[in-house]
Amino acid sequence: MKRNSFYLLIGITGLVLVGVLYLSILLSRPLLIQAAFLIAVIVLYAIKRTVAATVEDERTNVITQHAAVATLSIFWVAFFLVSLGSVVIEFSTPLGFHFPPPQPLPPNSGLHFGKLGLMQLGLLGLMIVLYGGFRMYYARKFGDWESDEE
Amino acid sequence: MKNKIKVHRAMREITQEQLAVGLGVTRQTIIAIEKGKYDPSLSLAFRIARFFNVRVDELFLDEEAALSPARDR
Repeated sequence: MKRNSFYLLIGITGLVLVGVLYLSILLSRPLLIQAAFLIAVIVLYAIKRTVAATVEDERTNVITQHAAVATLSIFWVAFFLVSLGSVVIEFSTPLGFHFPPPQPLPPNSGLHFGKLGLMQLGLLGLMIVLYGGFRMYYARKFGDWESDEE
Repeated sequence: MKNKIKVHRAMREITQEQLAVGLGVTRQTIIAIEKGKYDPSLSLAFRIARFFNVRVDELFLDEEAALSPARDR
């Protein structure tokens, strides 16, 4: 398979997964999207191995390493901030030190797994954006878009 | 780090693509090395030197050593 076809396949898979997510919510079946996501990832990794003209060498590995380290060095701070904020929200309520005084909460308004999942999806999105940005930065730094007269 | 890969390539009339295939790297890596954007690992540097049948120090120029010759004495 050609590289561009592979990228197109990733896009189509993403759209299909959004549809499955919608269906999963509609049917209240979390297993549906989980299974679909797992299968999609396995299939995409398997297809990736057959993609032509994917030559990895030490320079591309260096770019990946630098991007990964830079992403991690920022992501752990963001993850810590969100986690600390969540812990404060979770544990501050029983102590009652609030200014201004909180409004009475409606039933079932606590921190649920769904909200936790959304938060995690947001963090994962941040991680992908950070990695993409750093990947482009280091690729440029190590001459990925340099052209030559040949 | 400066290098003379382009010179040796021109002397032997080898294209970047041919050199890349011979070394098992991408053409972009050869371009990046020639332009000084990427310093190759010791292993790749030796492979390039072997490819051109020259010594590593004939191919790569240690700019720091060139700037401070007193250290070598």
